[in-house]
Amino acid sequence: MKRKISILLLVFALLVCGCGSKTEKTVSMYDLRTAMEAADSSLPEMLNASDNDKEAEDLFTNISDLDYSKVDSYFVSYSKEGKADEIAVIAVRDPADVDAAKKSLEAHKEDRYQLLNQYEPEEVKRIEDGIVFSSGQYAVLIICDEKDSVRKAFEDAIK
Amino acid sequence: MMETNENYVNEDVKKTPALRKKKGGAWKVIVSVVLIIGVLGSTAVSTFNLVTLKSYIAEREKEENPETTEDYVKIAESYEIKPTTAISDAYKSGDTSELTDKEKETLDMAKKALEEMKIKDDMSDYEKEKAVYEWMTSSLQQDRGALTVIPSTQEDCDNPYGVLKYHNAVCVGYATTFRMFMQMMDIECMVEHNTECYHSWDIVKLDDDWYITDIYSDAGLTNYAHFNMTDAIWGQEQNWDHDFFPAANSLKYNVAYQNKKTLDDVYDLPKALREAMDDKLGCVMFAFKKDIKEEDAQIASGIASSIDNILMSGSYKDMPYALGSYNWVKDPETDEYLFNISIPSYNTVGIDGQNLTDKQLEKIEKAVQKAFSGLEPMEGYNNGMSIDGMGDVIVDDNYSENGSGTTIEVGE
Repeated sequence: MKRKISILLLVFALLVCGCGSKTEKTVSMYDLRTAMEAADSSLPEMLNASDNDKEAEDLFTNISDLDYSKVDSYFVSYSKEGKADEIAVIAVRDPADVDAAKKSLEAHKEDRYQLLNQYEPEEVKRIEDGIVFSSGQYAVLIICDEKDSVRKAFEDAIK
Repeated sequence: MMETNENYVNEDVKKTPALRKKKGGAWKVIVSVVLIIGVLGSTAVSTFNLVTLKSYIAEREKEENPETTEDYVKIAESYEIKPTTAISDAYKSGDTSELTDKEKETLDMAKKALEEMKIKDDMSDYEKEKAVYEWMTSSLQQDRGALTVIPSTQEDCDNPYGVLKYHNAVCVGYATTFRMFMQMMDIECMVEHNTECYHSWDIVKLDDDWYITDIYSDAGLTNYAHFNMTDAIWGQEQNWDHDFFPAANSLKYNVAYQNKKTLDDVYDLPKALREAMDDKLGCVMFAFKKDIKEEDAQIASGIASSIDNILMSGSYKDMPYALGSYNWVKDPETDEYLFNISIPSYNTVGIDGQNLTDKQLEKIEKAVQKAFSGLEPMEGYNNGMSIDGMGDVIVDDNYSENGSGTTIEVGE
């Protein structure tokens, strides 16, 4: 009897642990985008897309092949003139998926490198110098001149 | 005597081995049948799996290494190369009954463009090709929306309809439109694409030889930098399926070759290149009086690399941002080595208003210079060049051969 109760308690404990990774509330993508853009005054005229847009899921496929059902929110800010400058943040619902999100942004960075290498070779060094990283449930891509300032703006915004 | 149980039992015992033998034999048959079925079934399944696996592998290999075709290839995952022979055939036959409305409109625009190019029947194929190149590179502009993260290209920027109607094109638009013009004039032409499927251009046949032309790269410049190139020249920048597309090995109709300069030796290259840049040339080719050895080839590459570094170290007005590709090619007539350099673009100050005439642009330039002359540079800057990080740069005011101003020498 004691053995059965112990097993039941063990199973219950495991179940509770399995449900323990609750997603924390993510920051506003609008606030995050404006803070990060403001951190680099040399950015050219930028366009943007986010999960607030009408065709958000379709637009998302331009930066990531992550299953959209795993995405809590995102934004991408990019040069209107097709230059290398780009800032993208993906917030995933489950932190366990953040690595996959980060990998998808790395793949996107490589795609941008290949494309601009053909048509704007003077921009490719800036893509090479760009950074992709993750923090909590966020995966981030930053390609711009002041990437350190932009990264700091991100880190301050999600505190 | 009555039969006893013992006797009876003995009879049973006598019978049992046979019965047992019979029953044991049946089991053996059953087991054998099951085993045979199992072996046959397993073989069949394995064979099926093997065939399926091979088919799957073949499909995957096909996806990863698709067979090269000229048409129906997607470039940059968005723009498809499509044939336009319906339009060119209709032009040659005069029969437009099979064309869609869009194709009819395209044909009308193409005919109008040929009139603007002043193409005449008695022109050679080369003259016709050059006229088309000059018209396309000066009349059409690159659609930069193809380069944005979320593409925002105009509709039909990848086919002659949109290219001719909106004067806006991505590489596929340029390549298919150029090909259409060539086919309208019965000049053999194919659209090539690179192995990464990120860019496309044309290869055209003149006098039994093939030449590579990339209209997109010269759009807005008309500097012949990418006009009638060989495989060796274009191969410095691109990779493509050489087994599928014809080889381009002739220099006869390459503009840089037609205008090649002969230098005494490779150390004359910097001065000659500077003159070419002052003339805003897009491509240059140099022959040498001296026999070129391996050492000379390396010196020439070193010179080009050094010039490249100077150009890229700062944005100099009216100078190239950087050299394009440079390589050695063989003169098909003399078998001597020629040094080929492309200079794709120059840092000219952009002025909005692409429809302004040269006279108007000159007038704007004069008025702006007059109003904004005498500005004082900020601390840390000198004549538009940053001194920070370039402590070795000295300015030589003595350069005056063609009055183009100062030259820069890197100090020791």
